[in-house]
Parts: sequence; structure tokens; C-alpha cells
Amino acid sequence: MSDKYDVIVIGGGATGTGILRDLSLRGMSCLLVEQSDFATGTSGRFHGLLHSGARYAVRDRNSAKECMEENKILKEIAPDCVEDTGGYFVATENDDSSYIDKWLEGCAASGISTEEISPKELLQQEPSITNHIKKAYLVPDATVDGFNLAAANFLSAKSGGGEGRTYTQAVGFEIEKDKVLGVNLKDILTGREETVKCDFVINAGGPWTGHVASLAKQNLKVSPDKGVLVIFNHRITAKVLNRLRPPGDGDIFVPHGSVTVFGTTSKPADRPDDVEATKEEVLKLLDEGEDLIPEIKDMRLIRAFAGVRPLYQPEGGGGGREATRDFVLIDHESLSGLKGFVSVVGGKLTTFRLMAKNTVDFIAKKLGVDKPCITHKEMLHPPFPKERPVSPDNICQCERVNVHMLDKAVEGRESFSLSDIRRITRLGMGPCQGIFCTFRAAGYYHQNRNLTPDRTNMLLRDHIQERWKGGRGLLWGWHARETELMRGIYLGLMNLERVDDK
Amino acid sequence: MIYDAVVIGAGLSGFIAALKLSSEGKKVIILSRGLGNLYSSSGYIDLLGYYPTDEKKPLLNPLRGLEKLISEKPQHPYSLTGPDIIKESVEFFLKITEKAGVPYLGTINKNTFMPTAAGTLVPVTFYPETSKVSLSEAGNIVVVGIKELMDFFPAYVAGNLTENLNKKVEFLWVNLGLSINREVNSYDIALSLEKENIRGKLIEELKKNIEKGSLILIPAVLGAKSFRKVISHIEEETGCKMLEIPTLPPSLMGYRLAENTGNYLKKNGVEMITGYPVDYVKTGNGICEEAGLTIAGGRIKKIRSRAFILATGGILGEGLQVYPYEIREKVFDLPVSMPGTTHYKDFFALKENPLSCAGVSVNQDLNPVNDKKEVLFKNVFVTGATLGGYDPFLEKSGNGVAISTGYKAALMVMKAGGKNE
Repeated sequence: MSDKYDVIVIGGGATGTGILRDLSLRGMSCLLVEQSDFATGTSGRFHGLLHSGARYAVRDRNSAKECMEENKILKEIAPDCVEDTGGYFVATENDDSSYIDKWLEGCAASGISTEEISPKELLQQEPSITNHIKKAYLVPDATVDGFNLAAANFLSAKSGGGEGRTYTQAVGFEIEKDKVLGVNLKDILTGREETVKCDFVINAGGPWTGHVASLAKQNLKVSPDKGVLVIFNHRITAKVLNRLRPPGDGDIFVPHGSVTVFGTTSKPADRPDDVEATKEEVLKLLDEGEDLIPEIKDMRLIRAFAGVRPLYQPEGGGGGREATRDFVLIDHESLSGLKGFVSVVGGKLTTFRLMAKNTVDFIAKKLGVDKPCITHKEMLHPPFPKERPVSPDNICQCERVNVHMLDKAVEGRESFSLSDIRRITRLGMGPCQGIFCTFRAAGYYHQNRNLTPDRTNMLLRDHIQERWKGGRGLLWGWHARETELMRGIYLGLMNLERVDDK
Repeated sequence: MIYDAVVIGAGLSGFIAALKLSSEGKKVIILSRGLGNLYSSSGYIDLLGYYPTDEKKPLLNPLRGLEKLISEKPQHPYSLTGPDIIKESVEFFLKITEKAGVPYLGTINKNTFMPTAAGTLVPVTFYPETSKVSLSEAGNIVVVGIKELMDFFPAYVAGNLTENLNKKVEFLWVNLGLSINREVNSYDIALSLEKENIRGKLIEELKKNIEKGSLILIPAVLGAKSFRKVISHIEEETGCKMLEIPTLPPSLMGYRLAENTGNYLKKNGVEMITGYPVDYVKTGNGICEEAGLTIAGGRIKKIRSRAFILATGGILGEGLQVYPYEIREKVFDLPVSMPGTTHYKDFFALKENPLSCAGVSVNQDLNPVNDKKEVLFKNVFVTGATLGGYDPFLEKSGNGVAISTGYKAALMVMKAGGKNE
């Protein structure tokens, strides 16, 4: 840890890690602090769609164009974080025909290729889609793993000298004569507090951006907006499936490996961490999805959760889907005279690199650093490859996670949770959602990391608790039975609820 | 032909009901959609591990806990059976399992604490004879893990047990040298250990590393059908006592109980049709006359009986189907109640879980009743996990409730039959 950094970045999502990467590749000394683990905020709670931009072609052409450009770049530089599935846009017989023309126009103007596909051909490729199709088109959508992306950004930043600390929260700022001199940090795990000096702070806190700004007595209206998502236990369609109509609820099905993420909704949230999905929200979402996938209610759900969009409302703007999805860079010096503090807010994951570039261009100029952005040229590699061997020794059979990966995942970590491991290895993210592999991973780490029994009990219990959270909105059908099985194993068989919390 | 009883479900409560009726000369048939969840169970009989349910300390005397429970919770299945029938039912269980070749030990007024796959201790009341051991009197204790089995970690078990027993417990890994090129489970290992050469390898490793007179804790893999031979052979050769720890499913201890009692009942004249769900029941005037199955070739098999015992295993057994806003009982469409809908945020909270407590309400005779307490079917009796009003995982009572209610249902069938004769 240094005496003083050029820049401290607050927030470890795609934006924050992307900014750290750009800063370090331009030779600036930088530190990122994240209150939890990378991509535990919005970047880990979205549908995982790498937009072609077609979704914004009608309402927001600027966004659409940016998405298409970034989509191309990320496919080239981050092939291990991205699956180039392609996507469909499908208008059902109930959907507005006039919107289709506007959409085609908007895509063309934004440089997004669309190719019409006949309903017959579509149904041959994707038999689970409704046959009440009016029109269908192929677009260059792709899918992206938010956890992998943030981890890859961070690894790239590290190679350029960038530093980062997870489970470290910004709790205040050192301000003197209207200039930010440093950040007061608190280690969440140990409680230890310290102040780290810097020339500039970049506030990339996602839904917490408003809160972080308020610590510097800055007033930013960031409205949290909740989007509910569910995961099905199989890959429903080979490509991304979008509904071709004005953006509404339940419009998108995104395949990720062997599962499908489906969503989403939009409604003002109470808090930046309103991330649980209720049964009612899930049922409503399924009602919407039935139009595109008629048998959706017979399909097995394995997880229900929500993400919170950080919507920035400059004075007088509307909320929800109307609010701008463009990102905004706020220079607090021009806003209120506070020097050395910028906030980056809004946007979508697909354009994180561009957000980062704009932000770092600004900062570099302020700091007199004359280096161009090269983030569009440098490759991004996640900690673990997509291709993994099938082996009887795999700890997690669904996602093919072996013990070498488990070892590598904890390298350099003083303490960790199984969720931290899950995010970068995909342990327990497949159809079984970790009912058995959680136990295996805990047992493995106990011996190989020399953990105390208390520590291992906690690892195990915390992760089962995480799984429970993701299933609370799904307590019917197959998942109700799964929950009984989980109680049968972890309470009935192992009596883990009576282990003392020391 | 009219049966005296049709038992729907092949779990522990169904088996006990069928065995009791058949031992009294009644004509019984078991209808089961599948093999039943008993095969996946731990093999222990938990009468009552904790009471009240939020109590952190386990019951040392389950009978005493039972008596308190019965006086305080009149709707609990144990209150409907009563202490005398509970005592009779467990005595019956012990007698039957001995005859079936899978003898059990234990007494109704003492809980024994058995090690789990997490190294915690769990209170059980009756356990297989092969698991007879005194943890407190044991000298050297070693937990043995098998390399090929991914679901058991001896270091973790030993670590927790060391704290729980206040005595140093060691651990050891053994490699059986199996060359099975797919993920291996406890059942695969059990079958392998029934072969002399592989068992020999295990014995060799144990002898090499563990002194005679030790207590060896090992996952439940010591044989399937010939488990008694496998266990005694290993104990003889190593000079050590073996105590098996129940694993995540598939579970050999559950398998042995299910397989042996299943074979025993077939040998003793209980018929069984496995593989078909009950398609319909014919009812009228508060009586059920007939159950129908659609069997191979689309033929309908009609089964007429004087009484019906619903032992379909609750939510886990799929006798109860959960929908977003209601729970339905699949065979008779009996009303199902759930105590509230709040599901606590903490999975490990010492609070009864509404889903686990959901089930069919019954009267003292185990007949299903509606919310006005009116009997819906006079000759239908509900047993085991399909009953509501208790959380088996939290109070550790699942198999105890199964045995006592299955036994009581048999008594009720006999009582009703006596009236009709």
C-alpha cells in the first residue's frame, strides 16, 4: 500500500474495475476500494446481456450506437468473458407493428445489423418459442459474465500496477479548502480504519453513488430502480431472445452456459441493496414471459433475485425506464466547487469501457498525464477459462470446477467466503445451485487451507444461507421440494442449526 | 377381492402400517409410485431430539420430552398417537427389524449422540446394531475418508468432533484404487467393498495406519446387501470397531433399512405394486371404496379395500404438491393447511418452517378432517410426513412420527374392521 495515490476509485463493479484498468494502463497510480466483493452490486445482478444496442434503437439512438461499438470491442478483447451467442428480436401477434418499422430504422441508423428470419425457420431452431410470431430478426447480441468481467478488469489493472481492496468501505473524506485530499477507509472484516491520500477520487459506486457523494456533502440524485430476474435450470434458447416491442417487463431471455436468465422488471427501489425477489414479483414476471415462451410456467426455476439500477436524474427528469441510460460524468468542481472528486453514474454494463475511457480522459487531463486510452486494444482474461475438462474428480459437476481452481481462487486471500469463490469459478451456479458442492468445497478448504472447524462451519452455513436467499421467492413446485431436501440434509442429517455461533 | 387395507406410499410409515396389519392376519397391499425416500434416509430413528423446538440443548430423555410435548401441543402427531401407542410402535419396530435382518438398538428413554458428516453430533433414539458404540468410552478415534468419495472430508469431521467430544480425533485418507471413470457415490463404494480384494485393500490400509482397539469412523459405505458380513470382517481383521456415518444421498444406512424391511414384508404376504401413481380414488358417503392405477399397456387396475392408509411422504415424498398460493394433497385432494406463510430470512433459525409444518389435519383416529373438524373419509387414515403440525428437521422427529402414526393407523384399521365384521 502506498503513501499516496494519483486516484482512488470507489466501487468494484464493471465501471470501477474498468476505470482502474484504464488508469493503470496509462501509468497512473491507483487504488480501488469495494465494500463487498467485485461485481456484487448491479454488475452481478443483471441479465448478462452484452447488448447489440437494438433494445435502445428507437428511444435512445446514442446509447444504441455506443452499445454496438462496445459490443464489437468486447467480443474482440474479452472472448473468455463473452459468449457470442447472437440474439433474436421477436414480435408476437399482439405486438405493435408500427414499432417494428421504427426499430428497423433505428438499428440501421445506429449501425446494428438486423437480418430477418422467417417464423418457420425460427421455430425450427427454437421450438420453445411461441408460434404466434409476427416478425423475427437476428441481431449481434451476446452474453457476458459480470463477475468474470470485473475480475478480468482487475487482473489487467494489476498487471499495470493498479491495486484493489475488497471488503473495504469508504466511510468519509479528508477535505481541506474545498479539495479532497484522501479517503477514510474501513476494513469490513477487521473493523480497522485508516485514511489513504490521493489527488483524485472517482466515485463509481453504482446504486451507492449518491450515498458516497453525500459523505463529501455532495447532493446527487441517484434513484435506485429494482429489476427482478429469475434463472431457469436449462438453456431455453440457443441465442438471446428479446421481445420486439417498446421496452417492458419480461422481455429478455439470456442463455448462460447451461441455464437461462430471464427478466426483467422496473420499479423504484427503497434502498440500493433491495435485491430480494418476492413470490409476487416472480409470478408477475412469469405471466409476462408466457407470451414468448408458452411453457414457461412448467419450467424449473432455480434462483430469483433482483438488481438495482442506478438511475441518475438531473433536475427535472422522469424516473424508471424513461430516465436516461446514458452515463454521466459529474465533475463536482463545476457542480459545487469541490475539487478532486468526480462521480460516474448511470449507463449500462455493455458500455462500461467507454464510461471508463471518458472518465479517465478527464482525469488524465486534470493530472497532466498525456497518455492515450488503450483499453480497447489490450486483451482481457478472467481468472479461469470457460472451457473446462469433464472429470470424475470435479468438486462441482455441473460447472466443472476442480480442486486446482479452488486452490487458485483463494490465492492471496486472507479470508474468503464461498460466494467469493463462486463468483469467479462458477461453483454452484449450475442447475443444482450448490446443494452438494457447497459441502464438498467447505470440506476441501478445511483441510487444504488449514481452517478451524468454526471457520469451516461458517463457510458452509453462510453459503447455504445465500442459496436460501435466492430461493425464497420460489417456494412452490420443484423448488419447494428442493428446500425441504436442503433442510433434510443440513438440519436433519447434519444438525448444523445447533452449531454454536462463536 | 377386497383388501383389508391399501397403503399408498412405500416409506417408513407405510411399511410399519402394512407390517402391523399383516402380522395380525389382514390382507394388505402397498401401492407406490417409486422406491420411496426411505432409501435416502440416514437410517436412524429419531424419536424426539429437541423440545421445545427452539431449544439449543438436545433431549437426553426423549420420552420425557415427548410427555411434555404432548401436554403442550395437542395438534402434534405425537399427541394424536399418545405415549402408549408410541411405546408399542417402537417395540414393534425393533421386533420387525430384527426379524428382517437389520436389527436396531436403543431405548425410548435415552437419546444417543451420533457423529454426522459435518462432525457435529445429532441425537438419535434407535440405531442399527452395527452402529453400537460408546463415543465417550472410546480410546483412540480416527475418522477415515475414502479418496474416491467426494462427499466426505475426514479432516473436517475430525476437527468438529475434537471440539464436540473434547478429545483429540485424528483423520486418515484411504485410497481404494478403484478405477471407475465417472463420479463415484457411496453406493458404488459399498458394492466395491462387498468384493474381497477391494475390502482387503481397505483392511490393509487401516491396519497399516491405525492401532488395534481404536474406534474408526467411516462414511456409510460398508456394504449394501451383505453389510453385516463386510463390517464384521473388517472389524475382525483390524481389531477396531467401525462406526459408519450417514452420508448425503445415496445413503447405505437408509438403503439397508428400506431393502430389508421391504423384502421382509413381501415374504410375509404383503403385496406391493411399485412404479405407478394412484390415478383415482372412488369415494362416496364419506367412504373410499376403490383406488385405481393405470399400469402397463394402459390397463386400469382397480383395487377395492375396506380401508386406505395415505402414507405419501409429504412435500419431499411428493404426496403434497406446492403451488404458489396453495398446497394440494394428490390422492384424495384433502385440505392442506400451512401455519402462516412467512419464511424466515435465516435458513438456520430455530423457528418452525411453515412449509415443513404444512400437511393434512386429522382427528384422534388419524382420519382427515376439514376446518370444521368434520371427518372427510371414515376409512382413510393419514400417516407420516403428509401430516401437518410438526417440523421434523428442527425437532428431529421424522422417523419417530412415521413409525408411531403408521402403527396407529394399522390399529385404527383393525378397530374399524372389527366393527364391520
